[in-house]
Amino acid sequence: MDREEAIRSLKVLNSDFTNFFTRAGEMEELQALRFLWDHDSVPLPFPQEKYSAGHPWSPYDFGASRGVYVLDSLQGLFLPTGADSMVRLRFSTADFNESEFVLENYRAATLSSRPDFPLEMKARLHLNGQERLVISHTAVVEDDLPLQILTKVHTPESAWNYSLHRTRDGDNGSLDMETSLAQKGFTFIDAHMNALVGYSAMGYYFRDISFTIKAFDHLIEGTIHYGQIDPTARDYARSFNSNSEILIMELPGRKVAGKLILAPTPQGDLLDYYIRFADGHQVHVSEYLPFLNQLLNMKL
Amino acid sequence: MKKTIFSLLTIFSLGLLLSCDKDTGLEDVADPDATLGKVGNYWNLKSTGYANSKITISSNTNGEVVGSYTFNGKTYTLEGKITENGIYDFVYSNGDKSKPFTLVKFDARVGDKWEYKVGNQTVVRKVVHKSTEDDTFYGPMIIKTIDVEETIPEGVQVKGAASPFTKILWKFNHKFGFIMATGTRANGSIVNLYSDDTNAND
Repeated sequence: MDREEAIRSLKVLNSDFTNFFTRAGEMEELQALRFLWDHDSVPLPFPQEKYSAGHPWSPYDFGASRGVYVLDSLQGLFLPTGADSMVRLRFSTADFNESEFVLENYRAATLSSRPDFPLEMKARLHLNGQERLVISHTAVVEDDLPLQILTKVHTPESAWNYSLHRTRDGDNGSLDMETSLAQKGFTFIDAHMNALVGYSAMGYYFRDISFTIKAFDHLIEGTIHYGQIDPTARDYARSFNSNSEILIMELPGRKVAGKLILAPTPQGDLLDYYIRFADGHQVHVSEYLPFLNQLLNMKL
Repeated sequence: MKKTIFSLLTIFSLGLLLSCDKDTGLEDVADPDATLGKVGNYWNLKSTGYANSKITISSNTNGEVVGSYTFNGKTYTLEGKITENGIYDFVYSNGDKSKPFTLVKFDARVGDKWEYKVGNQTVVRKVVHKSTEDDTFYGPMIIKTIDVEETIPEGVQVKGAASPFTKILWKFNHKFGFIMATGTRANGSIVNLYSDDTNAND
């Protein structure tokens, strides 16, 4: 499509994602989870993961954490009030009455990159007396690396699924990932990634990556010959671009709006992501897809 | 804290592992036993507040070395390339041996630098000091060092997790290899790791 049409298409895609993030941010279930996340006193696994300098890390002990805890709103702390076979966190706030987060089970293993990688987890969230969210997660670890992961997060109206499957044959293998988001039975984000990987004593590294992300009325399709990209090349952008093709297309019809490339910034000393149109003109990714720019620059 | 010292060992231990004269580190090594990467070479490691550790070269194939160390009761392995003139590592390629990154070259000059791109981010290693006379204590001796400052953009991954450090100052000696490393975390706090003994010069 021509540049004008492509810009319109990219603006639609950005608008779809912006609306999605806005709606997601307004979901009571996520607001409640964020409320819990912000409380370091909750006897849940993630406070241990929220590493800060000078704060000793310790593995999460589900058995020792079991019990009933009630939020003391004056102190802002979850205080233990009784025994239970699960971890029950009861809280009431200005937004939620008679609410409870229940961690039914939790099991983790040490991995090369993470001290506490969850192998099994089941949790439920009740808000205002009604079950509003269910989290179920299972994983298998082999060679100190995740072999399989299956995670499901469901609310009465929406569902997020994630799966990973890794294979190994000597120093070669593959990695397949899938994730999807659905609401009221309609899947609006569906992403797949297949990669060929190599193995080393340090873990695995990517050789070839192919992925498709179907999002709303767009399709992002990419192939990256990662093993061919020279990270120490004097012209790294050229090495990256000649070994990758990432296209942003509009559905139906797979009409190409633009191609994602790496290019020097105007100052010339840094590289960043740009969208190249069919006529060769290119713009910084943040100009029409700020959400994508944020994702590409996310610090994990 | 265990996580930090583990990351420290992971990153720093690769500094122990030594080379030729090209930027790529892919050149052949005529005699692996004539380098710091000789099988059996070890370095004792110390860091204030942590248990002592020791990394030992367990294999060397044409300069590609594997080093092993024990931390918290578990044995870990690390890979690098050591030639007559320098040390290269595979930290940022997660072990892809076609993508070495120069850690130090002993004939480098102050101001020389090496870059490794990860997407739109760049890890930079720059020679910031090269002794012209003995100026650094190493056990009972005073030796010369070549110092390399590594700058790590926030969020760059090492072994599947974000690097805890934004800067690392490395000190090397051409006979003893790794001497010391100082890692600076995002909050400005500092972790030192140093070697006080090695058999690399025996």
